[in-house]
Amino acid sequence: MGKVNHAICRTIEKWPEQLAVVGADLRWTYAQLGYESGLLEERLREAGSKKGERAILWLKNSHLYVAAYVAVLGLEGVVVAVHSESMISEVLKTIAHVKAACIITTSAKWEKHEEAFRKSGLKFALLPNSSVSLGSGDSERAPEGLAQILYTSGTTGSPKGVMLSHENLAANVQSILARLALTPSDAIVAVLPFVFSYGNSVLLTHLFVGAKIIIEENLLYAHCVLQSMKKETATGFSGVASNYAFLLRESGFQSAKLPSLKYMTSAGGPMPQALLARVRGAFPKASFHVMYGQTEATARITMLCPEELDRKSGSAGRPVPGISLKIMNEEGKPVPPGTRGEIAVAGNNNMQGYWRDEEATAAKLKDGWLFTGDLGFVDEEGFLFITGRQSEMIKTGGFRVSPEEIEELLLEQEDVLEAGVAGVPDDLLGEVAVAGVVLKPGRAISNRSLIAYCTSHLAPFKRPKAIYRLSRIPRSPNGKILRRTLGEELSALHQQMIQKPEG
Amino acid sequence: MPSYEPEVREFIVNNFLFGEGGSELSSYDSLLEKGLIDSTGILELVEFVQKKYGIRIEDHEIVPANLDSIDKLVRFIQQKKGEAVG
Repeated sequence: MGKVNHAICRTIEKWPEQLAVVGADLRWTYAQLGYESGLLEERLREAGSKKGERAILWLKNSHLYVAAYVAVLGLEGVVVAVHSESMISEVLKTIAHVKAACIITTSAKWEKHEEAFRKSGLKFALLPNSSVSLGSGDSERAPEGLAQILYTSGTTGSPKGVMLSHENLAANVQSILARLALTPSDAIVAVLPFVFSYGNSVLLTHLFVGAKIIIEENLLYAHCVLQSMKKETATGFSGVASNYAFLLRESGFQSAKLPSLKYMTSAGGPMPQALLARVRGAFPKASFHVMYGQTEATARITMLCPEELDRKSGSAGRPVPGISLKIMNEEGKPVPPGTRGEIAVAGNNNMQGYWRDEEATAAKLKDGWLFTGDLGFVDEEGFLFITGRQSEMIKTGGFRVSPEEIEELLLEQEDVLEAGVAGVPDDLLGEVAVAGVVLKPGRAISNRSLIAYCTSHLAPFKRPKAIYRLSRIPRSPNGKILRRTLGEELSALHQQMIQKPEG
Repeated sequence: MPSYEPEVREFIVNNFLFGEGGSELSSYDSLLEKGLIDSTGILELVEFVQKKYGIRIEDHEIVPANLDSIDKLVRFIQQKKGEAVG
């Protein structure tokens, strides 16, 4: 299978006049995307970029992000994108972990963090209108064929770098396209961050077929998203459950106001049936595709086609073409239909491993099978039903947040003796992170100060929504936090607080 | 004419900055760009303005031009209350 950038180049040659990336004040055709990414590639080469080096993209969804992505791959580099709202400490951790050679970011971010970048070990920084040499750096090469490292919250608190090859990305794009049948006349508003696997797959599937990607910066304003969809005659919408819950609060999110919308997809966590019914009610003629996936599987694993939504209600669908799926028991052996177990998948979509973490890779990839950590069963017709997730990740508004990462941060405060974090149900975001702390005797740090500390050290989507004082954190006899029990306790406290707000 | 700025600022500092660093927040700073607000935050902000000032905010008014800084919020409240915008 070819390289991702070659596939995009083919689109550029085939559909030069077609719109590729449009925003509020900038509209690029595929020919312009080719030109801009070519310029960027040249600038990266001049600044000293070499094959196999990792380039950090610290950018929001933007024209620059798309051009930088194509340019880095064009130089046989590896894209490592970090969320634009990440704090500098989080970005520096990623730079160090991946031994990045360069960062591509905005002038504003450079000016604010120049000193930190100068000490980070990077070779250079590439800004929209200039580049800055920073040092000799580490020119160690990544494995052959590697295209991208997607960071995902690990269960141990420190994020893990999921290594995806060109083949992984291209295979998964082809699997998705086999089901979604996108064409150059399609257009999608990119509300999902490109830096995570779902947004990344939305970006690539549209770039592969010559469709239009609409950049909308005001994602938190439903009215702005809807105006963009209307103005650009969006044909598709991809979102996590909370995106749909959010848009449905606006009266304009219905087929009468958006007649061009013909398909929708959801992934990144369960889509509640009641919410799905409301979306289908608002768009009776549009098709809805429920999907299930995982970063380690590049993106998509299964899809439930629109025509099966009623017959197989609650299912995540069948594997997309090119992927085999089995349910395994605790010994790692396949079980018959109807029996619950761990979901395992095989195919060209399976990651190459975690960046520099052989132990975690070996635990996840066994004999060509990726053990997802999710639990479920398949019925006699091969439809997957997900019954639970083994991992303790909190899924909030489509983001995956590690409870351990927040716990470690809270424990940095001298007054905190113990900290436990769990997800509690939230109407809009599905789940939100809530923390419980036990203070050392005689100490009195306020909950507000603890939240303020989290606010200054964590990206907005990772911050706990509330912190409660507890007399103890529930633990197993060997000291492990009993996350479910903790979640129930925190949920009860949180519900009381929501119903009886301060003041 | 009442100035809404202190009350709006207090709400934002208390709810989105958790009471800290308020003096560094200018009236013209974008709440989005500063990473202070998320989707729940916007709904909280809308509810605060509606309740506190007895005004109704329509869907199409929930846009950054009306809500994304203290200054924009104050002007929007003045406009909704039919006061001359200063």
